[in-house]
Amino acid sequence: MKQQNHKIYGLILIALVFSFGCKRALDIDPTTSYSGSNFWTEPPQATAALYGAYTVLQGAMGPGSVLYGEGRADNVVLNPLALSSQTLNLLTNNLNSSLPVTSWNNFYRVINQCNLILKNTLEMKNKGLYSSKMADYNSVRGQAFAMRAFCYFYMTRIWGKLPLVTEPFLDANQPVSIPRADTAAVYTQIQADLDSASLAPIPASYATAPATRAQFTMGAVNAMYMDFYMWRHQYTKALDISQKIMSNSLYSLASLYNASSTVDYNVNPELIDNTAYAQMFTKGFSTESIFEVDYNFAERATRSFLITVYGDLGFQPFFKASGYLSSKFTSTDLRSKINFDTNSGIMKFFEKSGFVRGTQDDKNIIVYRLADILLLRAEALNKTGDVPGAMALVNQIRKRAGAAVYTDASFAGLNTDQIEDIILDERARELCFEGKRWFDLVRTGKASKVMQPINGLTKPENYLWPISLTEIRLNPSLDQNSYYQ
Amino acid sequence: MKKIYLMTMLLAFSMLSAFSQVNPFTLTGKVTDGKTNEILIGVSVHVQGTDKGATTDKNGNFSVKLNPGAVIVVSYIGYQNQQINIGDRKTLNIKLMPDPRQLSEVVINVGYGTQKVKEVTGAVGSITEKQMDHHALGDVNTSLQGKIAGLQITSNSGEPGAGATVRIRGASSINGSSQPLYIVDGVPINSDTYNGGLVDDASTFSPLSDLNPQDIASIEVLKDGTASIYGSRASNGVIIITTKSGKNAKKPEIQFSANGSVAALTRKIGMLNAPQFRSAYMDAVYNFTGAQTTKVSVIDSLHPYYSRNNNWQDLMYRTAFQYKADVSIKGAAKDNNINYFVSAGYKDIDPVIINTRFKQTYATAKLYYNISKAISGNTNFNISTNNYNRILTGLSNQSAIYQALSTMPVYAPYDPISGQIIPLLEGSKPNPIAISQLAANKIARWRMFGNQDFRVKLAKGLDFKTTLGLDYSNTEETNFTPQALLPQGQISSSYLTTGKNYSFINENTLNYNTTLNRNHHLTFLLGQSYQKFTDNNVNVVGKGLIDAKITTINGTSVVSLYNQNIEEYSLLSYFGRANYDYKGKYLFSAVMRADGSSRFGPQNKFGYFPSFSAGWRMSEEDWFKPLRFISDAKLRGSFGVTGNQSIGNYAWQGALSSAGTYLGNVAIVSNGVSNTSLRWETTKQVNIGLDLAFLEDRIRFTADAYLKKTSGLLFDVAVPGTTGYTTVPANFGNLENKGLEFTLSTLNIDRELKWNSTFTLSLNRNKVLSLPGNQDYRPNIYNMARVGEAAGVFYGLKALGVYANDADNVYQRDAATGVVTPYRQGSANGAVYKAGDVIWQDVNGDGIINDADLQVIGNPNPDFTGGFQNEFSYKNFTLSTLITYSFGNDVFNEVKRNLDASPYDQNLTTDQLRRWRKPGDITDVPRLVKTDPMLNYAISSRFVEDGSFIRIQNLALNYRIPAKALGRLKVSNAVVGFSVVNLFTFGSYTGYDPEVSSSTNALAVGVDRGSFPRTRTYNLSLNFSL
Repeated sequence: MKQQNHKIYGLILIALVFSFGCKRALDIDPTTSYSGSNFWTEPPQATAALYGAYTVLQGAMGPGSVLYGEGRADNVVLNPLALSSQTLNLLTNNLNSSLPVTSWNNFYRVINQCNLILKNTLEMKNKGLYSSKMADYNSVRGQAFAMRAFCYFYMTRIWGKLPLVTEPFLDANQPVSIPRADTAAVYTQIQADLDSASLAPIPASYATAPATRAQFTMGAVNAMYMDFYMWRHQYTKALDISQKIMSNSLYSLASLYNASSTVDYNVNPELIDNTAYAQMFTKGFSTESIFEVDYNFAERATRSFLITVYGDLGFQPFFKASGYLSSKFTSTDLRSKINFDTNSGIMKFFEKSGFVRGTQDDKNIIVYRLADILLLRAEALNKTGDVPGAMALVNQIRKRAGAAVYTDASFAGLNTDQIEDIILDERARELCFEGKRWFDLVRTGKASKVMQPINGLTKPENYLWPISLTEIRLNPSLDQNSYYQ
Repeated sequence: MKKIYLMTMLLAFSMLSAFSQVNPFTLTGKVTDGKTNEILIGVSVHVQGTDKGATTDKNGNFSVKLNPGAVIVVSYIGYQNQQINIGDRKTLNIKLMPDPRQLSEVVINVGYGTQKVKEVTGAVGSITEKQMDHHALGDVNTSLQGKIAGLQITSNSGEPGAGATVRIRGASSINGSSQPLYIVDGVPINSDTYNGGLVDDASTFSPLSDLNPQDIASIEVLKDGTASIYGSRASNGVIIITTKSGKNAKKPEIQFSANGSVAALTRKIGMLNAPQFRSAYMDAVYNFTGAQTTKVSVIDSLHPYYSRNNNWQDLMYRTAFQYKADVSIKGAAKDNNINYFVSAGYKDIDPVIINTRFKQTYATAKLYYNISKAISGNTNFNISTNNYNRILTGLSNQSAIYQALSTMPVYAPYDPISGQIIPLLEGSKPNPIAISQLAANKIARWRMFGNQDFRVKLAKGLDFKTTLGLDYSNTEETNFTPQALLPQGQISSSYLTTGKNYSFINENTLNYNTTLNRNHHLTFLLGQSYQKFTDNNVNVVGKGLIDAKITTINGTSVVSLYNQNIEEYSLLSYFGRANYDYKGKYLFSAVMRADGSSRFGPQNKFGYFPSFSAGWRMSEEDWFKPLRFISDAKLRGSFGVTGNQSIGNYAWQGALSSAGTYLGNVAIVSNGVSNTSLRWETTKQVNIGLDLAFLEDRIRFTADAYLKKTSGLLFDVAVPGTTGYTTVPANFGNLENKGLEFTLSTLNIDRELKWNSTFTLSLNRNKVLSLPGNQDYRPNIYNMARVGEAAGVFYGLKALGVYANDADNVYQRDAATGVVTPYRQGSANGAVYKAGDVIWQDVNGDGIINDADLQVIGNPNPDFTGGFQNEFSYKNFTLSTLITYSFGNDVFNEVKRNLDASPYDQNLTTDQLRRWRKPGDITDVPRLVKTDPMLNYAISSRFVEDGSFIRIQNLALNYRIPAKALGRLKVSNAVVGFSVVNLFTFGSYTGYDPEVSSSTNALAVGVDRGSFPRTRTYNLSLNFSL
């Protein structure tokens, strides 16, 4: 009998535990992150994904924008006490596909994030999730289009032909080997994205001043149009679009030189920190700024790493200012006091006094500002035959810095190319170290002329950068740029 | 019928009356080993035909009451039984002879049950408690090294508790944790290695070091397809650990053991001394800039700060003391209704790097009890804590190991004027001594695992068992980098990462065994299991600590990263096994397991893992009997399917997670792409084995041959950056392992001097069978997977020498004009190789050395590995040795490449003494050029070295103190021993140790990335029991 009882209890117990194993035990969703299935269900999630795209952009631009925009050009020289094979290879024009800077991965991460936003917000809208929030919808999508345009434009100036990815990568089984599309197709895509952003329409400004400067706006889209048209030598379009920026009251030049000021910066050089112009770089969010990438140490210690590439702050940075550049400044030009210290250290982005190395390596990277647009417009005016108009803009920039203006006589009789040299020199003085110089040289076709004496650059196919070896290994349908084959 | 009954009654009466005529008396005696004369304790002395009996006490004595003419049966495990007719003897000294044949009666664990060795049909290897490492640095991994054919264990470093790459029959998986499944006392335990914190410093630690080797009774390794009883996690084999119990301990036995060791580095890497370094550095700068260096530290050898000639390895490494002490008690109730084993252990290790310390405490309790005749229970409990003050390793700037090599020899570590430590040397390089003093890298770990089971006898031969198991660990890692050690521009930082790891298991099994018609023996197993795993990690990084007093996270001014990550997964399984044997002669076994895992999408959750095996004990056949010199012969065969599910917990779903904030707004980034078709990786394995024993088992030989094919390898596959991701989870290709294993155990001499030896040899050949699109796959810059090649072969340029003169660089010479086209680097526009540059093999013959010229330059997989164990015993002395070996594997010496590539200001290896200096020099080491613009230090055959070695892993001499000498001390057994671990390694590798394993990923093996070097230890031990 007793034995019998055991059997019964035993069987009940067994039945219980076996039935306990139901299939639901195997359905487990993540708790501290989202999965593809429970995201994209509310508009704030899409907005968070947009900010996510900005954080990825932070990684792509800091300090990449300096390496791409200055590393191969004449504004900087190698700091002999910080020999880095990467910067050395750039400056000596000995690029190879093993250099970390040849990787485009961060830009494509931004693009994938934008593609996800564009695909999913459209679906969310179709489900009615944006029914009373069309402003949100337009803002998120406008910024995503603008950011994608920015990435493709930035990349095509470096690598030329690009794999065009406009749909998100959603499943591991999707094909991954995408060949490069020629530059015409890339330009078409950039144009289309810029058009979509302005049609959305992307907001002209946001609730806070930092957001207006450090998120894409209509102004930023127009600045991209300007840069894009100039790159493609479409001067009429460039003149139209720059007019829109100039007439936008959000943007005005930050002041530097004040004729009535009694401060002598030769005696008290640190007082220049107080000028609006200096603070454009050290504090960011200036009225002159059209788009900048924000870095904030207090937000998870994000750094732009400008101190790694610049700044003779008791630390050996990669670069020093070139003597060639510093010789271009006249003694009254206050920008030289902003840009350098006495040791050729690059100080443009750092406070001349009271800079804390540890916590303040979060200076914003300025991508577009009004002075840049004005000087690009000057270039367009020169190309379309309006030399006085061009020189007026150059003089506007010079006056702000306290430098002597060009008199009409000084440029009378100069040809278009010579005027362009003057404008380019002004761009070098105004925009030095901001990641513009290399692209200026390539755009104007003067890269070989300027760089050959320095590092022997002669061949136009050498203007493009090599594609990362890692990427070529992973994607057999990629072809290396011809110079590096 | 009645007649028979009456006759029986009569007979019984007459016998009774016969007994009543004599007086019972007491027999006393002593039982000893017939060979060694050692006292035998716990021997059973049973009076035949009665329920009377006795067991021998700690002096080997017994006494039993019996009648004259009685027959006693003396039996003891491992000895031949004796029947003795007592007659009227009152005292008797009995000598028992060891029974070699008992070995095949030994029972081993084959997963959810045990089998006699002679009946096993799968390929199983085992070691027993005697073979465990008891020295302070010993753990489960070190104990298994070299002792089981087909099991290759490569320690990742010489650190206490270091992780290891454990391969059973080669790598059949290539993802991160392709480790075997570990089962302790029937319960799967967490064995995923963890690394030393947020910073990638090349270190890994093994949760297996939470187990005290002193508590382990035996370890079995399931190598073939019969491991499919563990289904989805058995692709890489199963290691079953059984801990000690108090079973059959007749009286409480207390055991103490103490072990003290002195440890030192086995060798140092040859680095340049100060004058050699100065000359090399000056060359490097001159060759780069064309001008002499102005670096004061290099050119001014009289400068007070730069006048030294240090070998930093001498300053960073020490001879260190390490000790371990253990105590255990076991006992059982007389009726064996309760038995127990409890133990505690403590170790305190000073690793060989200065200013580091490791402490660990273990405790375990195991209790068995019979609740009723039908119900019994078992409670196991293990806890372990450790505290480790360590130092960062690897190739980073804050790695003391790497800095000990790379720091220029000229620097004064202490200020020559003030005597204070100089934290940052020239160029903001941290002083390694300062790193060890000022930085704090700590690991505090706490682990508890235990299980409770109940067994119910439902009917004759039918048992039900239910088990509940828990495994909980908490690992807290902190790291503090003070301002003083950081280059200007960076601020002090502190991080804290806590990982809570929890798993719960419930398993229920039914066992039935029966014998039909005496000859047909059947066993059935039916079971179900549910297991759930939870990981909860919190990482906090803070920056800006004001001093080195408060180094925890609350001393920071900015919290720069905070992150909580909770991950869970579950497994639901059903399994069954049937064993059948006929007369113990023909053996069959069939297994089926179904596993469901939450890690796969709805269509692919369940995987099915069958196996079938058979054995034929030829020696049981009548025709075999004449072959008397063969005492046992068995032929085995098995086929089985096992699985692997090592992929991210949510891999199939994709993931979007927090990436901090932008302008104060929450930012979320997609960082994983989904793969809904993700499924189990499966391994099919065929095994054929032969077990032979000769001369009454004095010679035992086992051979196994296997073929393993793995398909649908689970892997985070690297994808082009244009996808927006770096890797995607995928089922990735096919891999094959085939090999042979031999074990030969012999009793060479069996006299007063006894000599046992065991020799193991394993050969494994590994081949990639297919890859997506059959394209080469490169997981990193060193290794590759290519169809037809072994997994993880090294891939790079092949060096043919060094150009002695500029004119030697000739790709083509125009016959007519004599114009020479030289080889160029990278592209048709690349630089021309000059004298002193490496001559690379131009595989495609295009005169350009680039990616198209890469080729397979080495294979990290060994041709064969194994071990050779010997034990000599003579009187009270025992000498044992263990030699391990590995042949034919290559090692990529990344440490050397990093040191000599010289992008930074650092010391160089003594290879540079052979460097090219002037035209005409013929050498294999290129000229030194700062920043290496010609990429002479690219991944190439120059850094591939032969990693073959023979290592005298262990040499131990033990002396058993004779009972006489122990005298009145109540000590029954005392042994003192001296041993040397890692005594000597023969091999040509120039790094710290040829056994390198920087990664558990089978595609990324054999790269020496500067882990904590292995040490040689001299150990003195004392063991005694009461």
